[in-house]
Amino acid sequence: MFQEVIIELTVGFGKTLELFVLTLIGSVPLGLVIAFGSMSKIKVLKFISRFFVWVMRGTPLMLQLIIVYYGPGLILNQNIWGMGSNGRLIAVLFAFIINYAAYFSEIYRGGIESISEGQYEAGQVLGLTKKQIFTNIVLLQVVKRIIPPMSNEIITLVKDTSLARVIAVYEVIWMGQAFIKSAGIIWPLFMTGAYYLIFTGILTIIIGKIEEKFEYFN
Amino acid sequence: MSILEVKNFNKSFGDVEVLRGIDFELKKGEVLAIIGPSGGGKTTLLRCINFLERAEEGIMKVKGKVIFDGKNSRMTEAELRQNRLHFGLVFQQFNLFPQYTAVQNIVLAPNLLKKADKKTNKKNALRLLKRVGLADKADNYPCELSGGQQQRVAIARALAMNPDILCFDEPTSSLDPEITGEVLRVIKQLADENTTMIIVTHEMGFAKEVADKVIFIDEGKIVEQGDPKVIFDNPNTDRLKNFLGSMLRA
Repeated sequence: MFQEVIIELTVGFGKTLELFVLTLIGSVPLGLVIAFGSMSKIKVLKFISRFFVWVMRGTPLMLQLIIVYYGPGLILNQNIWGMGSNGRLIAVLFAFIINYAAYFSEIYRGGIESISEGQYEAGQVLGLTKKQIFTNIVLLQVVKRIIPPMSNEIITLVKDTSLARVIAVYEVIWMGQAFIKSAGIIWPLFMTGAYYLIFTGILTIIIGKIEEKFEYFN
Repeated sequence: MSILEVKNFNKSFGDVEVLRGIDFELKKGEVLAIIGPSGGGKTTLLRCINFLERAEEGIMKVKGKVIFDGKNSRMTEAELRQNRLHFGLVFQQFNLFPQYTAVQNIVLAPNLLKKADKKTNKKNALRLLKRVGLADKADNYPCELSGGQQQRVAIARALAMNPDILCFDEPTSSLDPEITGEVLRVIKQLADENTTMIIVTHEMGFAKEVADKVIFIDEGKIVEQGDPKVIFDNPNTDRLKNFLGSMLRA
């Protein structure tokens, strides 16, 4: 039995990791786009970006997941996400990516706005272009500053992937819970916690190494 | 001929008039010291000259060519950057780039703007570091340097773009008194090498020693200007007398 549980849970955690990695790949760059939008001088763009962030941060991720998955079907009378488990996965990824992009955008904005005006001015008086100032002077300083808050969000994302279970994506919690019905045992569900702990432990070590790499300046 | 002519600079922040008709000229190789009480407009004038602020009115010529006209200036980004390169600016807060070593700070702009090939730029940077007495600190990061050393790197960084006029905005105001000397010595040395400079400063003794010409600004206007000996030893106006008196007491 134990072996069977391990196999099932590992398969489930594979799905958890898939959600985690694909969400990051989508939301990290999308967050930057939203961050530039919310700092834009174009008022409409700024308003739309900030409104979007407000909605994404102001409502539960679980509710967003449900609305993203069922909403289009109710309004358009057709399932835009495709059939079966693949369709559900795409819907979940869409919801996670836009939600996390909103959070990341605020971290980026905070990081960019924390760089002193003097750094921009020093670049300007040396005759550099705005783009050169951003990529060669500001960017690395921003990256250093956003590592701690980004780490926090990333660790939270590992655990938020479990919300995918509300629309039946077979991630690790779903797999653990399935044993209650099929075998009448609850300990596999408890065991899923160990998977999360080991993975977040590994992430914490990696993040620590990255932070060390940036210690040479402040 | 004057290397720099500033005519009728006017600048307001909201309702506050910070500069009210500033005129002056500077010849090649001259050192101009700008003195005056805080909030009098010294730094704003320097920032307008360096295009960090925009004067609403006024004309600026470098080597006889108009590079700024407040009344009709539709400069493109590229023109603005080109015009800026006539000047170098050393900030009160140094503003070195923290993620780069001393030598990397100096070569950044020359490399990005392809002033010369990278090898030449680096050789030039090391020569400049030697000139400001920091040959052994080339590979140190700003956080490993003292304030005085950081400011000397900042001076080398500004010199690397070969500006016609090097500007200083209170270069020693954020330094501990005992290390202002090392920065002032570097500026003095530049003056002896006939570098054209504009220095906004509170160091009256230094201004008197190093400047060819002094401008006293108060409430956005030039109250007195001329030879440092006259300005410091025989001030004409009560305002300058009071100001110098208050600096002596401080």
